[in-house]
Amino acid sequence: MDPLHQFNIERYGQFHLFGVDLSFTNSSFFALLAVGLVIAFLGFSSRKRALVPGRMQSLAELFYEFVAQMVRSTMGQEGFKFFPLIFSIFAFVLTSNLLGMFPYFFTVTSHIAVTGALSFMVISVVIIYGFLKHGLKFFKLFAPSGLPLVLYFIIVPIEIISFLARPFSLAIRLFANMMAGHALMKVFASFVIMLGSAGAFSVLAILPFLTNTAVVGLEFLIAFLQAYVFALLSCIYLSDVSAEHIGH
Amino acid sequence: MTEDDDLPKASAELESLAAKLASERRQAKIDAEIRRTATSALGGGFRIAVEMLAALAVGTGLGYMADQLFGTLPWFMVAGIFLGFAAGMRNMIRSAERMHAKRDSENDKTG
Repeated sequence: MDPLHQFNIERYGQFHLFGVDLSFTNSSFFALLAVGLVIAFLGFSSRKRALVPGRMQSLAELFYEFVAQMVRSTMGQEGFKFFPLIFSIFAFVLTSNLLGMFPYFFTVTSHIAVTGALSFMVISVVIIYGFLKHGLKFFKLFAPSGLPLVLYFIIVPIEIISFLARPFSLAIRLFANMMAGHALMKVFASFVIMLGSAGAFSVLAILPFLTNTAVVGLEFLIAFLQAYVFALLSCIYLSDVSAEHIGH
Repeated sequence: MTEDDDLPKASAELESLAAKLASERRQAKIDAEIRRTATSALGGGFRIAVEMLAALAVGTGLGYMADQLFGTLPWFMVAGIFLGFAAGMRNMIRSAERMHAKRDSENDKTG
C-alpha cells in the first residue's frame, strides 16, 4: 500500500556497457510505448491523405493545428523551424502523461531524470541556436542595455542564474505535478480500503471514493495542461533567442 | 383555420423557451468561466512557485560549487542564496507578466 511503490524502476534483465547500467526497464518500455503510439496514431490517421479528412485524420490535423498555433503565436512564422521539436516534445509528454492514467501503467514523466533530460535538451537547443544566430552577442541576453555601470555587477549574475534556472523549473514542474497527482490517487484509494474494512464506519468509505473520482478527472486535466505548459515554455525560451535583437 | 389560432400561442411558447435557453446558456458560460479561472489560477500559482524554487536552488548550488573551488565556504553560497532569490523574483515577475498579457489578449478576443 506504499503510495510511492508505483514509481519504482524495475529492470527487465541486466545489461551493462562499460560499467554503465543500460538495462531495459519499465520506464524505457513505457517511453518506447509512448513513442510507438504517437507514430502509429499519426501514421495510421494520415495514411489516406484525404483532402476531406475522415474522423481519425481530423483528429490528427487538430493535434497538428493546436501545436502549430502555439508555435506561431509565440515565435512567429520564422520560429516555425522549431515546430518538429516542439511537436515531438508535446506529443511525447502528452502520451506519457495519459498512458500513466491507466491502472498498473508506469508514468514515464513522473521521474525527474526523464523530464530533466527533456528540459536540458530544450535549453541546449536554445543555447546552440542563440550562438549560431547572434554569435557573441548572445551574451547580451544577460546584460540588458542602458543601465548604470554599477548595476551590471548585480544584474548580470542575477540574469545568468535566472537563465540557468529555466531548465530546472521546466523539469521540476512536470515531474512534481505527475508524481504528486499519482501519489494522491494512491493515497485516496488506500483510504477507501482502510475505511471499508473498518466495520461500522465502512459506510464512510464512499467519501474518499468520491474524492478519488474527482481527482482522476483532475489528473486528466493536469496530464494535458502540463504537456501544454512544457511545450509552451519551450517555445517562449526559444523565442527569447530567435528574436532579431537580443536583450531588452 | 386552426393553424392560425395556434400560431400566436406556439410562438409565445417558443419565445419563452428561447429566453430560458439563453439564460441557461449564460449561466453555463459563467460557470465555465469560474471553473477556468479557478483551475488556471491554481496552475499559475504553482507555476510561479516552481520558478522561485528552481532559481533559489541554482543560485545556492552555484555558490556552493564556487566555495568548493576556492575553499571559502559559506560566503559564495550566502551570496548565491540572495542572487538566487533575486533571480527567482525576476522569473516570477516575468511569468506573471506573461499570464497577464495572455489573459488580456483573451479578454479582447471574447469581450
